Amino acid sequence: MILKMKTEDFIHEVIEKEKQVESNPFLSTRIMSKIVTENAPLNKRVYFFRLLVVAASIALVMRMGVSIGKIYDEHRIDRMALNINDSQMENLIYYMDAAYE
Amino acid sequence: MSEQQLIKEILSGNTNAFKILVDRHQGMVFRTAMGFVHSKEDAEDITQEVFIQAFRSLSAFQEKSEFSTWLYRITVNTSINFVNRNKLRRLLIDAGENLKALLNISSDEKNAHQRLESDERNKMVRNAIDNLPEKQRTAFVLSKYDDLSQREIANIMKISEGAVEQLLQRAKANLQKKLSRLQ
Repeated sequence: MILKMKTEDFIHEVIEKEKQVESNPFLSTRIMSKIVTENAPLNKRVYFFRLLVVAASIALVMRMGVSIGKIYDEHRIDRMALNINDSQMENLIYYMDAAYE
Repeated sequence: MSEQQLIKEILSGNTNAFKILVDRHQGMVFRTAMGFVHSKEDAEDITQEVFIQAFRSLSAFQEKSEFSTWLYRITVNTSINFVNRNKLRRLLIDAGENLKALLNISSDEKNAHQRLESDERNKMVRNAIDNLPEKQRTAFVLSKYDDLSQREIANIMKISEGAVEQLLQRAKANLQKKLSRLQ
């Protein structure tokens, strides 16, 4: 009987120790914030609006990329480029430090 | 404000009224979860899961039983599911704790040995409770951790009071058998 009591005491001790553990005082706030974010219908609307804005932004960036790509013309000759005198450009080397060393 | 009024408020869209219910029952849900998982962090996760689930299915609560009885049922089911889901993780945590205790033994040997022995004994008790058959374990936790009467346990588990008494006796006998090494 005494031995049996001892086992019961051990069990009782463990249970009492665990019963004294208290939860985080902010647990209810954590629960409520989770519930509010999950269930508020307004938030669902905001979520869909956000999704729409992201999709529209991606479409806009793609459209801009295509437009910018189309601006480039392979056969276009710049008239100013034709007027550059190559021999004059070569003289610039005299103004560089490396040329005197 | 009564619980029925609070539930009506919540169902009509006043989410903040649910906080009153959370504050009222949080301790009891946490304590029951502790009986199943023996860890503060896990019990807090279960408490959160229980209240979210209760909020979602509040419209299905038919007020045939008390709100606390309904909440106890959700807590027991969520705790059992949690334990089954996290069996492997629990094993790894236990192994880690054992190793840590062994490594700490070198400092102040006598005290460390006593602590190790006490930790080992506590772990054996927890393991014995955890290894009880599901119904015995549920009845035992509700009785010992929440100090519920056999009638209340019978309501929660939807069985007769006699069956609860039998489950508790069997649980006690099983624990005595499993913990005979402690004597």
